[in-house]
Formats: sequence, C-alpha cells, structure tokens
Amino acid sequence: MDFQYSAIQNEFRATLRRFIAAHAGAAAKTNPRDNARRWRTDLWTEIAALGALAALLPEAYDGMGGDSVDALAIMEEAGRGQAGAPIIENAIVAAGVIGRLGSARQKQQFLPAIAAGTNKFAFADGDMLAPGGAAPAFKLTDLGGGKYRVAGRQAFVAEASDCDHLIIACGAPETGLTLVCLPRNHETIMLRPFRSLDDRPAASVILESVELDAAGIIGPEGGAGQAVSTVLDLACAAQCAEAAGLMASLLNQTITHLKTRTQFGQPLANFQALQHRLADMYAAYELSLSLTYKAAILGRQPGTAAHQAAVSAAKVQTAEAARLIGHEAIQMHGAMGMSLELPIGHAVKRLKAMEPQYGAAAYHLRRYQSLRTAPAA
Amino acid sequence: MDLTLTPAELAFQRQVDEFLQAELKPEWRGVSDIDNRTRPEIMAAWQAVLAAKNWLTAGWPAAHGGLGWSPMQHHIFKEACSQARAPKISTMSIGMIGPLICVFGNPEQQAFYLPRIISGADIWCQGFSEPGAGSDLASLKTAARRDGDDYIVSGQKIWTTYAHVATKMFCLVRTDPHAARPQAGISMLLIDMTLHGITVRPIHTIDGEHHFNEVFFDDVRVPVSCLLGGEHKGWDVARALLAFERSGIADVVAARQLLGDAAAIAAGEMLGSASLLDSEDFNNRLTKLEIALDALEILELRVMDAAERKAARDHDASMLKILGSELKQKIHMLGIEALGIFASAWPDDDAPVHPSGSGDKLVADALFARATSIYGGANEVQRNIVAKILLKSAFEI
Repeated sequence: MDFQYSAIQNEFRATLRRFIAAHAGAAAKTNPRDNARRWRTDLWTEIAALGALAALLPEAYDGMGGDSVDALAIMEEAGRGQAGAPIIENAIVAAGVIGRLGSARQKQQFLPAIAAGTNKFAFADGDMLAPGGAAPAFKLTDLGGGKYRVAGRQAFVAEASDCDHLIIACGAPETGLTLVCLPRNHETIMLRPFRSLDDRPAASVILESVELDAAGIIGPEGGAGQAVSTVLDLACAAQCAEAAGLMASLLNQTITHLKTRTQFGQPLANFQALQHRLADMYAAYELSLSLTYKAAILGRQPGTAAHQAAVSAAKVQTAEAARLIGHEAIQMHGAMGMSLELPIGHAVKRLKAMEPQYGAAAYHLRRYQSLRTAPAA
Repeated sequence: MDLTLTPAELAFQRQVDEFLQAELKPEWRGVSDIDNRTRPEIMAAWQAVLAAKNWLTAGWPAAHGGLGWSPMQHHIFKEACSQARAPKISTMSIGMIGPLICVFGNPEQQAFYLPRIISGADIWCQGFSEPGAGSDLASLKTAARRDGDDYIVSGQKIWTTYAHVATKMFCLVRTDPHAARPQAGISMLLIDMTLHGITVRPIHTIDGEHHFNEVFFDDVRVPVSCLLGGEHKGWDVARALLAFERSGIADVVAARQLLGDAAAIAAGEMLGSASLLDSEDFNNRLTKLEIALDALEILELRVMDAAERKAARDHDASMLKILGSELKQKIHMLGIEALGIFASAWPDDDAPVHPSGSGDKLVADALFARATSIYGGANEVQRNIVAKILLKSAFEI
C-alpha cells in the first residue's frame, strides 16, 4: 500500500505548480477569455516544453511513457492552479486513441506533435456516454474504392473551435465504432463556435457529408469501441484528478477567507456553524480524492472491470463533492463569492462544466451497478 | 502509488485467515452488534483464544506483550476478524486501560492489573461522563479527597457501559477543585467496583437493552496506590487514549456486511412488479452508499499508509470517526426502510421475522447505532477538531 508520489513525480509537481502559479495566478486579473487563449498559444507551448504533455506519451514518440498515476499528478496540479490548458483532450484522449489504434504512420505524424504542443486535437465522441443511449451522432458510410463519407452532428464538442484536427467517433461501441481524423480546416466541416461555461473554446460540429479516404481512418473499421471506452475512462479519471486540485484550491481559498474576513467584531473562522460546514467540505474532498487515487492506480491495467468500476465510483463521488464544495465556497465568501473577479467562481464553473464530460455521474452510477455482481461483494 | 499488499503483509493476512478458520467457533461467528454488547461471555471466550495466541495484546508496548505490528498489520487483522464476523474485542479493557497502564502504571500496578486484563479476570468500565460533563468532559465534578493513604470519592458517573458486569473502573475524578484550569485538577483512579459505597443503577436504552448505567460514589475509600499517572495528571492520561489507534475506527468491512443485509432484505420486498432492490430510487441510494464505502475504505488505507510513515495527521482519526459512524447510520436507515412494517415490531424474540430471514437484529442495532455519533467524543466535537486544524495558521491542503 502506497499513496505517495515518487520523488520524481513530486519534483515534477513542484515544477508544474511554480509554472502554473506564475501564470494562472494572474487569472483573477486577466480577462478569462484571454486567459483561455494564452493556455492554447504561448503558455501551451511552454507547458509542453516543460514536458507536461510528453510525460504521458509513449517513449517511442518523443514521450516519457508516463502512466495514469503520472496523469493524476499532472492534472491535480492543473486543477489546483486553475490552468485552463487542454491537457486531457490532447495528451490523454487524442494521444490515447492514436497510440492504441493508429497506424505507424499516424503515430509518427501526430504523437510527437502532441508532445511538442504543435498539433492540438478535439474529440467528438458522438455523445456515446450520454445517459439514455441516444442513436449514434455520426455515421460512416463505406463508399468503396477506399473512399468514405461521414455525416452527423454533435452540439457540444470541447476544444473544437481551437484545434488543428478533429477526431470523430462514428457509430457506437456496441454496434461498431470507427474513428475518423479530419483537419479542422477541412472545407466541408461546419463548426458553430461558442464558449463553454468555463470560458474554453467549444463548437457544435456539423458534418453534412464529408468525404475522406482510408488514410483518415484511425484503427480498424468498426473495431475502435473497446480502445475508445478505455481511453475515455482514463480521461474521466484524469478529470477527477483535476477536480480534486480545484476542490483543494477552493478549500484553501475558503479557509483563508474565513480567517481574514471579520464580521461582528471577529473572524468568520470563530463561528461554529461555518467550522462544521468546513469540516464536512474537507471530508467530502478526502473521500472523493481517495477514489480518484484508486482509479488512477488501477488505470495501470486499463479496461479491466475493476478499473471501470473504480473510475465510475470516482466520478460519482467527485461530482457530489464538487457540488458541495463549490456551492459552500461561494456561500462562505458571501457576496464576494458572486464576483467574476475572484478565482473561486471560475473554479466552480470549471467543476460544473466538466461534470457531464466523459460520462455524467448518472451514467457512471448505472455503469457501476452493471459492473457489480452483488450489492456487497 | 500502489494498492497491493507487500509479500510479508500477504503472508500475514494468510496467517490470520488460517487462524480464524481454525479457531473461530461457528457459534461465535456472526455475533450481532447487540450480542457483542450484551453477552460479554462470548467476548471473554474469544479473547481467551486470542490471548493464547498472544494476539490479544498485539497492540500493546513490546515490554508488556505487544508484537510490534505495523499499522497495516493491525488493519489487516481487524479487517480479517470483521470479515469472519468474529466477536469484538473489549475496547475498554484491551484497547484503552491496558495500554494506559503499560504507559502510565508503576511496576506494581502493571504486575497486578495487566495479567488480569489478559486473562479476563477483570472486566473494565470507563468512568468519564457525568450528568453535567458530557462533551465538556473537563467540567467533571466527582471529587476525590485525600485522607491518609486513601482518596475518598464522592459523586456520580453516568452512561457507564458495562458497569453492571465490570469488576474495575478507570475513573476520572477531581483531586484539585482550585486548579487554575479545570483540566489541571483531574486524576485517574483505578477503582474496584466491589468497594463499599458504590451503587450501580441500570439505564435502559432505546434499543430495549441494558448497556448503560449510573454509578454513584458515596464516600468510597480508594487506596492511593490506585492512582494512575500521578495526582492531577489524569487529563494527560486520558488524552493519551486519543493517539493509541487509528485503525478500525471506520470498520468498513462491517458496514459492507450491513449493506449486504439491507440489499438482501430489499430483494425480498416487492414494489409494484419488481423487488424494492430493483427499483431505481432504492438501488441508486444503495449504490451511492456503496461507493462512499469504497471511498472510506481507501481513505482508511491512506491513513494507515501515513501512520506507517509516522505522518498521520491529527484530524485523521476524527474524520474517520465522523464518516464511519454517519455512513453506517445511513446504511442502517436503508435497511430499516427495506424491512417495511417489520421494522415497526418491538425488536425482541416475539417479533415476526422478515421473509428474507435477514434483519432480525437490525432495528435494535440501528437504534443503538445512534450512540456511535455521540460516544467517543460527539461528532460535533470531532468536527470542531477537524475545523480547528484546518483553520490553523500554516495549514494548506
């Protein structure tokens, strides 16, 4: 049993923390949209140069071969410093599916570029993890002669308006899933850009009838389901780690506020009503962090039932903790908690925006139920 | 980071499992919470088996029979015992006063009391709470006035578990009524329950059982040789209890078994055309509790891991106590809900048994489980402790 980061991981965490604090510390004073843009331009290049993306990529492609616990370490810091960089979308999702399914040529083309931060991806999963089992959003037609056509639409695709390539999941895992990779500036892709709740670039992706050849297909036709599910689980766990960092930050800011804000002639920290709620926020944080650790550790053997159950449990617990801690942080800051000038509102919105991503809590609760054989194993 | 046990820990786990397989008699298995509290003879028999193996006092200092187990070994042992549904070990004798005498007792006290604790010759009760001193323990009033070689003790203790079967009490008394701070004037006495002037009166609790008592001291003469840890030093002695053990506070294994009982009951209850267990609402609430238990299990392991590195934090035990007790209470309530009308029968032998065959002790256990968020420092006090540490000047998460 060991729940400590290694010396190397701790060193990297400290480096990341300093770097993010130096830049994201200004988040409160910067226009959030400008902030998001910088995390995709100059700061993106710098964080890539630090190795935050390469750390999670295979060694054969300019990476360092890091695993899910390295992802935990990195994303916890990204959350703690409220760094708005699309690390998960690129280093975990895009690199994950290309690394597992891509041809040697595709790997060589894309993975070193992801590591270097010179090629950004968005992933349109076709709402495959939406509760209710909607019909596949994207449909792939084999036109013969090495030609394909893809059509469909997805209302919310994170990072889609600020990426170089789009990976589109066509079909469904149960009936055959195929991944298609298109350059964003492909003339027949229609994007309707908008900002996400957390000020990140997103877009509706509308493909009326996009034609491509076999080079644009990643992996076996109809056979990408299992690899994609595994990668989305790794992404979900990494996002729980980011949430843990955000919650730690919210707790620290709330603690500081309680100690420094004076009302009725004494610091708020003296009021027992607030003390007890703070204790409950902290316990919720520690509980969800525990399952996030478990999901990260079991992520070293990804795709097993144990890994899937741990990811689902982490998501359910994290979603609950995030709501409690986010809302209490705003409440305890009083009217100040409502201001866009404080970082806490941005952290709360980031937590809210990520809640439905990589499977909402409702999806994961149901999956956890389907994975267990008996209620009390 | 790693979730696996070391080869040595796995070997230890096998050794414990084999021991339990060989030594735990069938009639001792599955002893309910309530039997653990009301049938001390089962506990005594099981402790004798453990004592023969030298495992009863594994957690004591090495000079007095301790085995130097790591925090993880203690955790493994407790989990295995819970898994096998073994009877509990006396918290007050083995977990509290034994270690206290090891640390604070003089050689004569150690020679006299420790063998009697191990053999089960003595059953101990804890004389802390008073009518006017619950969470605010330092305000206790039971007085001990020095008279030659004796203290003359007068006053009253209350909520004293096992006082009606106990032969000894470790008791906090006020030896200096004029001390500057209330904590400074307290001493701990080891009191023989057969002494003249002690009266024990039962208090029946909402589960219908007799665990609690009032204990009255009417000018009881207690020899000065029964003072533990120095005159006016009782508060320090009592505080040492807090640091003894962090393992087994949450008892996730037992909570998981309870959750299984609730599920078994719900599987036999119909709601419309399907079982209650298959209803989305009930199943979702049950699953959320199960996930919370998964989380608590890892949190407890994280605390053990920190303890192995001597890096446990002051608020860990409080947090585990809050989460463990309140989660188990929620599971109890789910079980009660599943029992339906069967939960409305007085929980004794006359009550009709639920068709699932489960849950005959559940109502009584659930009622007594309300005490778990009150005793050992009420959860409100535990929340005070957690918040105090979070709000300390240098603390950062």
